[in-house]
Amino acid sequence: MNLTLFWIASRLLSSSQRKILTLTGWVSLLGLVLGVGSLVVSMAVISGFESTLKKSVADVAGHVNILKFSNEQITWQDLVEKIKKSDDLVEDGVPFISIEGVMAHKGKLSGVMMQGLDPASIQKVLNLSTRLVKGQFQIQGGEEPQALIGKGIAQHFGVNIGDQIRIVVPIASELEVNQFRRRLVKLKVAGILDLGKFEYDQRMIFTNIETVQQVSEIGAQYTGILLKLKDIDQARAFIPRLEKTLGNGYRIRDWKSVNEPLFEAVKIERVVIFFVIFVIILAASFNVASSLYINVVQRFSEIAILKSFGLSSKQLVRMLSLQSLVLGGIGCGLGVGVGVLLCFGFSWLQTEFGIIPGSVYKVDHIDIEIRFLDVFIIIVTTLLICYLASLAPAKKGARMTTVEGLRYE
Amino acid sequence: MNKPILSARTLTKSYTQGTGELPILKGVSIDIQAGESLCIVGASGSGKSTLLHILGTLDRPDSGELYFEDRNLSALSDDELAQFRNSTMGFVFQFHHVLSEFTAIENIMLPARIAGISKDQARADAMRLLSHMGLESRANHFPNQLSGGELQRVAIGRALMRRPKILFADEPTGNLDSNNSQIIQDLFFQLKKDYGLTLVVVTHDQKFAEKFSRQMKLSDGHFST
Repeated sequence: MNLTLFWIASRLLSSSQRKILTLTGWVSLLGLVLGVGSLVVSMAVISGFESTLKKSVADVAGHVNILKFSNEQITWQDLVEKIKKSDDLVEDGVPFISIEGVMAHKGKLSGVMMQGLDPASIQKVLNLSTRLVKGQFQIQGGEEPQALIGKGIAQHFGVNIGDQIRIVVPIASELEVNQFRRRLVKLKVAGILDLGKFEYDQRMIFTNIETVQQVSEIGAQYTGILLKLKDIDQARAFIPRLEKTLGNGYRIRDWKSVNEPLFEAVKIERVVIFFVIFVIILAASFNVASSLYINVVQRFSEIAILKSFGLSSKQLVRMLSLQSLVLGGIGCGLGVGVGVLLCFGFSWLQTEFGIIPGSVYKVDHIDIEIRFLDVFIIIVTTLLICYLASLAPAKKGARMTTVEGLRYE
Repeated sequence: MNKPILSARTLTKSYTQGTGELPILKGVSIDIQAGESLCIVGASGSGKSTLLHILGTLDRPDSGELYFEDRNLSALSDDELAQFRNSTMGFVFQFHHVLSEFTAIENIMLPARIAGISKDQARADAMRLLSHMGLESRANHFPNQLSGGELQRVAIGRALMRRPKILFADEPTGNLDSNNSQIIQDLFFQLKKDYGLTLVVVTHDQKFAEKFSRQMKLSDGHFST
C-alpha cells in the first residue's frame, strides 16, 4: 500500500510538462542540498581535525604518558614489564627523557624540547616512522648522535639532512640551587618528521635516550614511560587501574588529557557548528514544505478526484508526507554528494595551497574524515524535519472537502 | 418492488451566503433501484450536482439519511466512506479530472492501486477496460496527447475500474462537442448493459435525458415529476 502511495506521491511531484520538479520545488531543493552539503563538510572537517589531532598526539606522545617522580630504583625495562604484566590492554612501552633546550643555528635561536628515546623500542610504541618526510628514521647514539627533527624546526633554521645542529641544555648546579650550567650537545640530523601538530613540528627533537642521559648527567635515570595500548579509546578507563598498580610517585595521563582543552573545544565546536548549520536545513525544509503547500493548493482538483475514488485522509496525509520525504531524500542524496565533492576540494586546496595556518589552528593539514555516523545523523534529522514540515500542507489537503476541490477546475 | 440499492430520506443542504443561509435541498427523498438508469434534470442552481454529490457520499447532507442497501452511510466516518466509494461507486464529472502526471492506463489503474490491488492485476484489468472503450492504442499516452472525448473515456474507465455497483455522472457530456457527446452517451448505456450498472446521471441535455428509464426533475430544492 505504501508503495502505491509512494508511486502516486513521486509522480505527482512532477509537473504536467513531465519535468521532474517545478521551479519552486527545484529552488527549495537547492537550499536543502546546500544545507546538507555544508553540514557534511563541516562535520567532516571537525571530525578530521579531531582525528588528525588524536593521531598526532598518539603517534608522538603515545597513548599513556607516565612521569616517574619516585626515587624507586627500577629500570625502565622492569617498569615496562611490570605494567605489561598488570594489564592485558598494554601493548608496549618506551622510556623517555624530556629536556628543554635552546637550539642555535645560522644565527637563529629557538627553544626546543629534546626527547631522548630508546631506539630499540620506539617503533613498538610510537608511530613516528610513518611521519618521516625526509632522510632516514634513525637515532643512533655514540660519538656523533643522530636526531629526528620536526619539519617546523627544519624550515625555521633552514636545516637539512646531514646537517649538524647545536642545542644548549641547562644543567642544574648541585652546589648553588639557583644556578645552572650549560651543556652543549651536537646532533646530526638523520630525518625530518611531519608531526601533525604545529607545536610538535616547531619544538620536537628526538634523539637517543643515552645521549640525553649523558648530556643531562643523570646516569640511567629517565623521565618516564610512554605506553601504547591495544585500544586507544580505553586509555582513560585504564588510568585508575595503572595508578593502583604503580602506587604513589607517578603521574599518569592519557593522550586526551595531555591536550584536554583542545579536545574539549573541538567537542563543543562540533555541537555548535552542527546546530548553526542545521538552521539552514531547517529553513530549507520549510521551503520544501511551502512548495508542497503551493502544490496542494494548485492541485485541489486532483486531490479531490483521488478522494472521490477512495483515497482516505490518512492515505493523503501519508502521501503528502512521502512527497516531502522524497524531496528530502533527494536533497540529502545530492547534499551528501555535494558535501563529499567539497571535501575533496578542501583536501586539494590544503595540499596545493596550504590554506590552514598551523600557528592558529594547531595543525596545518586536516585529513578530512566523513564519518558514517555524522552522515547518518544529518540524513535522519533532515528527513525528520522534512516530515514534520510536511504535516501542515498534508493536513490542509486532508481537511479539504472533495466537493470543494471539484469546484476548483 | 425490489429493495432499493440506494435510498435517500429527507435530505437537506444549505450553503452559507454572506450572513444568511441559502437552502439548496429542502428535504429530498429518493429510492434508486438496482440496475435502473436515473437521470436528474433541472435548471442551473437547482441543486442537481449537490444532490449527486450527497448520493455519491462526496458531501454530507445537513440532515436526512442515506442508505446503501441496508447500510446507513450517514453513520460512516470519512475514511470509511472513502473505502466504501472505492469499492462500490464510480464517478464521472463534466471535466475529466484525468491526472496529467499519469498515462491513460495508469489513471485507470489508480482506484485499484489505492485499494491495494497488485500492479500487474490492476494493469491487466485496466487494459481490458481500455480495449472495451477502443483506447488500447492510447494506453501509454499522457493526457496532453489525448483528445477531449478520449480523456472522458479514460475517466469513465477509471470510474469502472473497481466494478462499481452505481456509476454517478455529473454533466458527463457537458464539455464535449456533439460527436463526442454522442459517443459518450452510447458508451454509458453500453457499459450499463455490459457491467449491470445502476446509472445516476445529472444532465442538461434533454435528448440524453430521454434515453434514461427514469427522469427526476429538481426544482426549488424538491423533486417534481
